[in-house]
Amino acid sequence: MSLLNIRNLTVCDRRTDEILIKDIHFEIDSNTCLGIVGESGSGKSVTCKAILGLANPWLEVTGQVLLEGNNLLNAEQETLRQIRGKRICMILQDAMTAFDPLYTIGCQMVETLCENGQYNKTDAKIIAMETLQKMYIREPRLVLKKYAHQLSGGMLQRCMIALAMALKPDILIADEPTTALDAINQREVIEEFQRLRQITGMAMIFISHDLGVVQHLADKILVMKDGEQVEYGPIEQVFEKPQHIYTRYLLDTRKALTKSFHEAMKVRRSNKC
Amino acid sequence: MKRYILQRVLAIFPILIGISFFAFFLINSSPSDPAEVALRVNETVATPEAIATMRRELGLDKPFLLRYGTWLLDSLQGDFGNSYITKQPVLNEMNKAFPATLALASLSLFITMGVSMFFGIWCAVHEGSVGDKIVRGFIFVGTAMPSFWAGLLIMWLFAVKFDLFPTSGMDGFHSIILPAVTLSLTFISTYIRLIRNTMIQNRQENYVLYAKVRGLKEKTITRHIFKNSLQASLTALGMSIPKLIAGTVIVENIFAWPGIGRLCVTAIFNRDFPIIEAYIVMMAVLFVVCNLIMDIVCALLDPRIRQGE
Repeated sequence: MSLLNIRNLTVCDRRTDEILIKDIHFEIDSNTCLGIVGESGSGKSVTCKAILGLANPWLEVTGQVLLEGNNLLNAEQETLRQIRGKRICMILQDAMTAFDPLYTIGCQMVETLCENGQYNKTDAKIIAMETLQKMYIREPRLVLKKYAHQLSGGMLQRCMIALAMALKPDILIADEPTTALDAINQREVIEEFQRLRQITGMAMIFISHDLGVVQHLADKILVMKDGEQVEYGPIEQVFEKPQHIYTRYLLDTRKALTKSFHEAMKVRRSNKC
Repeated sequence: MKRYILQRVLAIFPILIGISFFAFFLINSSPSDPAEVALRVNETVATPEAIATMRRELGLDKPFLLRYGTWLLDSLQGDFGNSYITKQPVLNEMNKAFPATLALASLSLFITMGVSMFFGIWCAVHEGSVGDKIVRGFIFVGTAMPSFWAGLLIMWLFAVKFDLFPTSGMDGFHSIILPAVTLSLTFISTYIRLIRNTMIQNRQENYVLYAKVRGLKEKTITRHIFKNSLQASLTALGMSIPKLIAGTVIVENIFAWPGIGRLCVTAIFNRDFPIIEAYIVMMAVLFVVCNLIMDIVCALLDPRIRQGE
């Protein structure tokens, strides 16, 4: 039995009867990483929120979300709350707005650790400090005292990753964690995810619209288009023998983009000479 | 931060001078002659000679700007002149009436804050429930009902029908309750709605989603949302405190509460310029100072404003 098993996950908007997500299937084991790829609006984020039971109240979620065989869609709110953070944690897309602006980062990390674990405040502070250090943040003591608006997007993203690391969930969902970042920060954050996997061995769902990013991290890949799953399989298979026309299109676009980039670099180099 | 406060405090003075001039100008442009009214109130026949003597006595024969100048200089030293009618210093009259109004306004503020915070949060947490709908119905009625009518209804129900409280006057703690409740009614409905709606709006924010993702307890999340929603209410509260005191004009007259609201209405009927003028300046000071205090409190609550200055 796999750790998390998603079967026939369908999300429907009750107000308009529009189907946002149709029949998603996937499963994930510990110490593996699933990449979910698709363009904006293809239903990646909704899928993840539905798994955590955090879909907007006007959405109807059907199917099965099995965490070690227990269906989360039928679970009580309190059970779900205990699963969130402790067993399944998520890293949000927009780090700049993810923290409460009126409390320090340290305060929010400590409260999370206290309410999820059996830590008291002093222990939680030490753990927050240690995990920030593991994320190669130079002065964790100072960062903990800062408010969200005083830190950069990359730094906040790292704080979120550090908090996920401290919570030690079985499954980590990362929802486009690199979208809001510039290229340099992006690479660093991805390296941090790799490190996170090596250290904790947690299962990971990594959502991105960037095939290149997913290629670095994932073992399996799920391609979504307009709320439907068009391709699902081990990463080598998908990259070498894409079954669906949309996957092929994504791969070709990527090739074309990198090609023109390489050519541009060549031109620049020859101009310099 | 210190510089910001100092700047704001210094800005108060030109504002007050502007307001006092404007008020002085408006009162003096009113068509009726205060000298005549002063004579009538004291039951003297208003012959042209008597009016002329009275005008000289009250200093009304001097040019407008000179009168304003003298008044401004005197009031800066705490002397707001004498009432045209009672001949008592205005400051004494105000001092006599102010504690009553302050007691009324403070109790109303206390009721307003307590009730609206409780129901505001409760309605936001239980949005769409039967209780929420009932409270919203009350809000609708409370906002739509003018306070003089609400006051009369309350008086009829609790003082006449059930005979629980006195209808009017100031006689112990018992008698303050009805006017205070009447006064707070409109404010309560405004604030329940404000707190409820800002909290519901805040619930859609990304930080709430992340708080849920982190597995925080419902109570903790509500605390986060509440603190973030507080700013809108605090700014409004800064404007409401002087409005509370100004709002006592109607309520004090209905319940015969001997505060400055009643003093002011009487002064208006009697064309008692010095009292009206002092009342306007006092209200202006209250508005400006309360606004400033609330801005400072908001800055203390929100690190983003605190550092922005």
